[in-house]
Amino acid sequence: MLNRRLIRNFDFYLLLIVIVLCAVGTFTLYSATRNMEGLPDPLYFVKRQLLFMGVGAAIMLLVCFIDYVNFKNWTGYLYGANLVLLGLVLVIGEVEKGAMRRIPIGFFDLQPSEIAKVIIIITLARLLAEKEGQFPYFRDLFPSLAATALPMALIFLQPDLGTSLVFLAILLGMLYVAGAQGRHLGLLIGSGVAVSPIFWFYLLEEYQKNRLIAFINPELDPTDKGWQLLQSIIGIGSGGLLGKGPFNSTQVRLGFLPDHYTDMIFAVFGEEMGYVGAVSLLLLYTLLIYRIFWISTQAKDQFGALLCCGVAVMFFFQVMVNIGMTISLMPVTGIPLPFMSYGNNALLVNLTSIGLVLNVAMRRHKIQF
Amino acid sequence: MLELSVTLPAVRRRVMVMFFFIIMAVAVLIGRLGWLQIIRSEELYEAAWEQWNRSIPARSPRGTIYDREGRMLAGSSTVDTVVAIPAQIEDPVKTAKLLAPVLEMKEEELLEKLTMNLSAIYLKRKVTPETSQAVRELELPGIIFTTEGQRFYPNGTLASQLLGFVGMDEGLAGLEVYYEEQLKGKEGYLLFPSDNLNRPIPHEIKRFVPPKEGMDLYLTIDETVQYIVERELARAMIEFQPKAVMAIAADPRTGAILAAASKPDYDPLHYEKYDSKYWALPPITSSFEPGSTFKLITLCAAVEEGLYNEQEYYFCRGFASVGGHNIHCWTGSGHGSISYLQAVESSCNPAFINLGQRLGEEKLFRYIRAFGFGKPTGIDYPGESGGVVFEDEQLGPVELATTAFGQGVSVTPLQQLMAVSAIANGGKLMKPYLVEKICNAEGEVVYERKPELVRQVISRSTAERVARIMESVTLNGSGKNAAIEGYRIATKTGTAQKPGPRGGYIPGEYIVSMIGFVPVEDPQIVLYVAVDGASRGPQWGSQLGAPLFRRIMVDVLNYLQVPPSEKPAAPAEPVEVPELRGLTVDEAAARVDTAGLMLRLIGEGQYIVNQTPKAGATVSRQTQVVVYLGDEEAFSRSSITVPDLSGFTVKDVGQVLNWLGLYLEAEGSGIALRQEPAAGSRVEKGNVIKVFFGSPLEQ
Repeated sequence: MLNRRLIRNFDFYLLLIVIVLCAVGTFTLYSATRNMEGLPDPLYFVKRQLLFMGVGAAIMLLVCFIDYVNFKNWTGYLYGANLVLLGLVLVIGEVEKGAMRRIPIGFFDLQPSEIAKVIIIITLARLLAEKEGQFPYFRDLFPSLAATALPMALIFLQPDLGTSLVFLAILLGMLYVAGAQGRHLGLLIGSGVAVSPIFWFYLLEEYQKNRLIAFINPELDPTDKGWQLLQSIIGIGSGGLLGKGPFNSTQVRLGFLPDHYTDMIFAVFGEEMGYVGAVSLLLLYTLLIYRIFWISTQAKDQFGALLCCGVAVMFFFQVMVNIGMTISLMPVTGIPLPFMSYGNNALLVNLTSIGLVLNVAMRRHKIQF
Repeated sequence: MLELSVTLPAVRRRVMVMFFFIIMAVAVLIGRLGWLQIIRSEELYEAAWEQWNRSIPARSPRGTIYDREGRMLAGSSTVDTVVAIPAQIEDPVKTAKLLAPVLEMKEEELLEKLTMNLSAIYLKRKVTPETSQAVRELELPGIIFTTEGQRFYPNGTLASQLLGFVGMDEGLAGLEVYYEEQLKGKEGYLLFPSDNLNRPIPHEIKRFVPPKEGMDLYLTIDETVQYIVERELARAMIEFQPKAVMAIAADPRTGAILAAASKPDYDPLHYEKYDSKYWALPPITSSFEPGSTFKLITLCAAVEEGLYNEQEYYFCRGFASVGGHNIHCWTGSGHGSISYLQAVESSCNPAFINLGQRLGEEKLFRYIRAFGFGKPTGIDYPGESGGVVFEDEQLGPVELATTAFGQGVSVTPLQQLMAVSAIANGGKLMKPYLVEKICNAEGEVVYERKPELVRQVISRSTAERVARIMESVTLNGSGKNAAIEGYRIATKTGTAQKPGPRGGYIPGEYIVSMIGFVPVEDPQIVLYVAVDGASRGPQWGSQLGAPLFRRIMVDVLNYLQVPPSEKPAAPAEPVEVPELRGLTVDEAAARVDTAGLMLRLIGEGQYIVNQTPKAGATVSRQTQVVVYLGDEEAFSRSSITVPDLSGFTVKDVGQVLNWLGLYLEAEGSGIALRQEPAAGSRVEKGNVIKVFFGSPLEQ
């Protein structure tokens, strides 16, 4: 039921921002991968990214057709199916860099942890919307905590510390917007900090600890743990104010920097486009988040508003942590930069999330005056 | 800001707070980016540049080393070095296979180098032009060339110990080490950008930063003097068959070294094939007991202190009693009653003990140290020895006595040379040096050495008096065999025992030496020679050191065109050859020495069987008397052991073979170098011995 009102409410600004981000991302990906060795085609990654962009765009638009209110009813199925997938990945997943994250299906690998991000947003939006802003007791937070903890634990077991941290950010952000009391959130964060030594000593893998050590002191061992960080800083810093120009990132493109087309793509962009480009990109992300927040305030119901906030927090956290890690403000965790890093699942999930936000925007007015 | 919504005021407020927090976080990111991309940008750009530019050094040719007249002693040419860039090599196995025979390397070794994870690796350094050309013709991708300097020596091994040698990258001995900084020049680079896997970046320009040539050294060494010295040392090696011989010559007025050498030496192009002990330059790097040449120091001190009188008489009993020990004179029976002038001429030990005792420990050692003994002279050559002189607290009457005639101290030939230079130049101790000036590649003089006075050790009058005493040593004493007609020559001989590895002296092993300067009235050259452990001939300074000294000096005086002295000593009277048959070597040596002749031994045995010239013949001084050692039936046997003839002249060889009933087939001219059959083989009477004659340096 696509009527004129829905079309009139379609948020073209958000779409425009996403299109610009996708264009910049694709261009940077081309610069980062066109000289890679062993590729069947210099455009291999660009083509695949464009393909999934198309699929993602289709899903995004498809999502718009279904009133987001329906998702409320499907939450249980989505949540359950995702848990099954997350469990499955631990059993049959493909081992990559010491972690099991992917389930190969046909021509691409399914990454349930990426999909879980959008599903937890929907799930939390439903759970929190039911409270209608009333969280008098700490125990009122428990259902949301439990709902988040389950997929998070499965992802942590893969192990994927970065993605599980995204869940924490989404949880905290959505709890806050939903109206949870500040002291309860404080208690939650406080207890989290209190149990963190347990993580350090019993749950973190050696490589994860090394990354944290490297973050604190990258010069400690520049050929190993701190190497990636140091190379990223040298790349971005050598870009200077105006950058070395498109396709001219010597540092990063020449293989000094591992993961230069995935997690570390911001280093390529920063080196080629300089300070001006990097700040522009950051402002573009800020604009994206601002637009999503604006839509959330226009939502016709609490569920829609929380959906948008969840998506905004998810984008913000990923941008902050990813760029922060390339400039040594954050420890190195495997979190991709939305719309920039190469990654099929992330792109699909990001575009789907945008679809949800567009959906909320289209159906923003409860009452027509 | 955010538009108002009627439905969710609480959500709206919280979203605004959260967005504010996000703006803050973004501001932090922007700040950090500014820190890296603006403030630290330059520094990080440098770091990036360094990472992706790899370079292969191109070495400059080393500076040239010239003698004082500008004649080249060590030159430098540019040669190719074969370099591999592993990332550019398409087929390492095939490349290794093709290169192996050309570079004369093992295939496996090459393959290993070709597959190394390096930006560039040397395959073979400093190859010949032929090899370089052959590699170029293979046109292998990833195989490139860089240039390096390669030493060449126009005079072969001449002055090898002095010059030192150069390894792959740097000077490893001699002046090459001492002047490494000046000689080496500056490295150039072959620059090519590369990535983390050391693959060259396509379309990037290779840049060649040419190397800067090293500076040239102009030595104080005179190539001709050095050649004369080395030729005579080589001859002495053949004639006396010692362990080693050495010589060092200087200009006594300045301290400039004119020549320094020892044999055996080595070939600087193939230094690795020689024992490292031959790389050093013993006249500078070795210290040993000087023997009687050191008496000159005692003499100088005694003259300066007014404790010496030529006319005074001393009675030598053959030994002196010091602190309960009897210290012997080198003559078993003693010199008897001699004047103090004769004591110097005949090198009497007890007389010098007496002079030492007159001076006392404090004064004698003050002079010894003032002459520079006990510490290095500071010459510009690496590894100089300082020698050892008794410390004050070690001093006792015995130490004083032995030091006075040259035992118990350890000095270098160079120290003695400088001390005797002071006697020659009026009492000035000069600092010796080897480099006259240094020029940069453009030929501009960047450094010029001036003679350096260390101190005035003795007065001019003392120096002149000692010089005259030394002259009478040449005229009447142990230096007779060094006399050169027409020149006034000051000399002193020395015979030093060699300390063994476990203390004490090695019996029968001596270092015999002679030091002196010419001409006495205006000294222009001071020379020290030493023969270490001669196995043929009497080990006396007068019999080995003096002829070596003389031969060098005659040619050097001639070359330097030193005018003959105005009032030279009268030519020596001819002498009569004494009867030597039936004597032992020592007995014969004493007789020959007294007559002012030289004894040369041939054959092996206890007693002298025959001699030439014959007893009673009238000959000029310094004539060599060749004697044959053997037993009584030496000439009547039909089966003869062929003697070692090397070092003798055609005339002497012919005479000796005649005695033995053998025939000579001579080839070439000069001194005997090789013979067939070899020494020690047995032949029948009437056989022919083929002997090759030539210059000693030919060997």
